[in-house]
Amino acid sequence: MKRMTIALLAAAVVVTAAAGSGTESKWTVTKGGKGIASITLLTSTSGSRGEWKASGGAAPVIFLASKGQTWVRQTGGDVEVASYKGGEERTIVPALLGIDPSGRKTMKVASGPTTYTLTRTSLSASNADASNFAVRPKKGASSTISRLSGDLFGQSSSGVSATAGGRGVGNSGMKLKDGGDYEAVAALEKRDATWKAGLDQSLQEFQKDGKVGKERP
Amino acid sequence: MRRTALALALTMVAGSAFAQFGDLLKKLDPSKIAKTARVAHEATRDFTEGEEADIGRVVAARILATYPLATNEKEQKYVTLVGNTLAAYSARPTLEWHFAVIKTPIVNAFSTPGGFIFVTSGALAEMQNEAELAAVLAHEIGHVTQKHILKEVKRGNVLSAGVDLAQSTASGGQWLNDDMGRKIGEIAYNKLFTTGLSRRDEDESDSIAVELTEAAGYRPGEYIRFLENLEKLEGTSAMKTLTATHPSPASRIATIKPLIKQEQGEILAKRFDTWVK
Repeated sequence: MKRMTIALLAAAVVVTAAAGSGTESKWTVTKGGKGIASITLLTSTSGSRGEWKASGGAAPVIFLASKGQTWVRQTGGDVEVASYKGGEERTIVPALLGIDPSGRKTMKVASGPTTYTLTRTSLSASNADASNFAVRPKKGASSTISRLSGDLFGQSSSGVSATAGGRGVGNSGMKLKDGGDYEAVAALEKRDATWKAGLDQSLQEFQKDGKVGKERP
Repeated sequence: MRRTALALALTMVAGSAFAQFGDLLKKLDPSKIAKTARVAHEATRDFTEGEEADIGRVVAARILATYPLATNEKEQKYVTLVGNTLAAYSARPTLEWHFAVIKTPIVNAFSTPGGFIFVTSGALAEMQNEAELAAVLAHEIGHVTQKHILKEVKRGNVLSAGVDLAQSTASGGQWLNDDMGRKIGEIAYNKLFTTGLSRRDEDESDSIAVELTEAAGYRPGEYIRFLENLEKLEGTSAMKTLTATHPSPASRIATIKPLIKQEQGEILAKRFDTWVK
């Protein structure tokens, strides 16, 4: 009996150690079959870190996911992804940060009409130091402040375009047999996708007219 | 010295235990251990944005199976414009927000994880101006940004669906199945239509409603006017679900009043009439 208890304890130690360890995986990103970037993804119990490297040789962009928030490393500190004025990596890397890399070999990320394919090229265990995942917010870039004024650290019209923009995550068109009306959900998503093209312009006019929102005089 | 001796003793005990049961450990399948570890980790982690969006679709599908989308496109556009105006000031401005009117005489509004927000045609009929509509939508935005329904889903599913999720994710499959959809739908339906969220969550959303309406330039006091109007409707069938799932209007007014910092702001009653009435 005692031997069994010790064996179970030993097994628990092994399992706990495996659960606590992180991973390092490398991913290629293709658009229309053409490679456009690579991402190195580090995961740990402290959070996730994704390093985006565009094929053109531009400086890498580092994304950090911690406690439900995604941050981008910039000079002077980290800013929330919502206020990051980047390119396609703004959508792609946060989608990758949320997955378990050992359970996925490929994934697709949609951004508007464009679909990107992410393919895992390597996966290994990692004991990356916790400092790799530490978020150091830029002065004034806390989520509390952004809740109150989303444009404090973005361009003046960021609220308009960002709000109208889609993140390209999740399974649009998903249908389960659970009693829900998925046709209606799809119709609503389709409606908003149709409206999206003119929404920025409409919002500007609407807000100017009512003297409300970010476009108010 | 004493610490060193203790450390040595512990090392010897651990070493002895591993040596004694080394054979047993050799029989353990490392891939199964790793999978078990992954499952345990998955069951306790937060949902990703993609998973949140999918859960939102499940809850939205359940709401729309109960009440259909209203057919008045002008009203739908109006609610979308007001909603997006407010969402830009929220904690999650880049979320793929969807604002819509659903057709039912009951006075209420609902939100789902991931950013679906529904206001009933019955609630619209009781509103006098755009500032009131803004406050109601902002309250629902608060539920989304603070992940109130998502927390309930996680709490209700952590032992069953959470593990299913881990196993499904680990095998690279689609993570939601019909059974999980049913469970999520039941939890959300129960919270939205029967028992309601906690008083703390409702207060938090009311607080966010005041913050967002003020930030967007609406007069926050109109929220109180709307709730005062609802007080008069208490006891009617239109108020049944709202009464069951929210604190009383009087109690909410008492919570909201001290939060209002400014009396200025736009009301936009004429514009509201142009789009809605």
